[in-house]
Amino acid sequence: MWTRAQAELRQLWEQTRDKVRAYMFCACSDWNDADDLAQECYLRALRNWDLFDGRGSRQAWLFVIARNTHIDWLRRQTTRRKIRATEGEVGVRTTPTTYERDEIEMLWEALNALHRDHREVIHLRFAAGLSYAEMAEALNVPVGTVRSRLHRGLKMLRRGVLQNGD
Amino acid sequence: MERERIERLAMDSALGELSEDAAALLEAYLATNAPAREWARRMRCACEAAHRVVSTKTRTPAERIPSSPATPRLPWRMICPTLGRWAAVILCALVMGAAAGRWSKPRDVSPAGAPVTVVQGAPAARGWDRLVGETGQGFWRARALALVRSESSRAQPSTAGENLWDKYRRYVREQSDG
Repeated sequence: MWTRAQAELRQLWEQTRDKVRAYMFCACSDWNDADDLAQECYLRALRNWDLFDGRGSRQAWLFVIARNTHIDWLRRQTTRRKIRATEGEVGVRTTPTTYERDEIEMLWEALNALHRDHREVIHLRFAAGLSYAEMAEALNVPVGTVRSRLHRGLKMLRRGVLQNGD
Repeated sequence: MERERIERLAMDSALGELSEDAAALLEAYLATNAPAREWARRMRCACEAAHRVVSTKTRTPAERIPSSPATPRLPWRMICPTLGRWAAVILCALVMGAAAGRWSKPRDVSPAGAPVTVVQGAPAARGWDRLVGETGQGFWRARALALVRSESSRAQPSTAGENLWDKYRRYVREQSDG
């Protein structure tokens, strides 16, 4: 009962599932949400499989879908937070009082404090392993912009770690 | 070269996006320029740090590692839409069929308690006679009667020229009169 699209998607899924999950985890910092988002991403890919025009790579196309899935998730989260706020509930996250500030945690915090554009290219590069060209395709920006964002993001990450470390 | 350019080239080199020739040229330049070497080192450290934090944080927890990675399966939600669609189509067809059957069933043609007139027919029609006796009242009974009459008329061509609809109408008229 497998159709051609499902068979091809299965192949793509085997190649990219870890990358997509890692990217989603970087984006939402929770494995449960990351798994849900990854699954949603592949579902969307299956529904829109025939819309791929053949330009660029399937992997970059998949990460366009992954990014849009994450953006939609962020919007839903924002709406939920607004509803909770109107219902009088207290904030969503609390900072632990005893926070182990080792290097990884400091880096992670600094990474999450970056602007979304800079954070996104770092996630796509280091979590998903995309090349500059694939990142440019996934973000729909020129390669030069990808390089600029990555460069600025890495510099700010380093600066953020230095500031946190003081 | 200006600092930003050096840092970008160092970043490209660290990420493997620089050709071999360009990488060699960069290394040659860095060997002769101490400030540039320091800028490049910082950028490479930043790349390594980003790689380290992302790879550490995205390392799949032990309980989430699939038990049989050699035979991965698609999530059930990918398969379900197709199955669900087919199930919905079958269910709709069943419901519509049942509704159509219910709607098309006519009301009883003979009033309740009316005497049942069994037409004696040819030997070939005996099976129908039995059916008429068992089915009770209603549409199917009327239909069985009509068939019995049809077969009887075929066996005894006394009502030649009278079609099934005429026979049925006559039967209804007789029932309403009697």
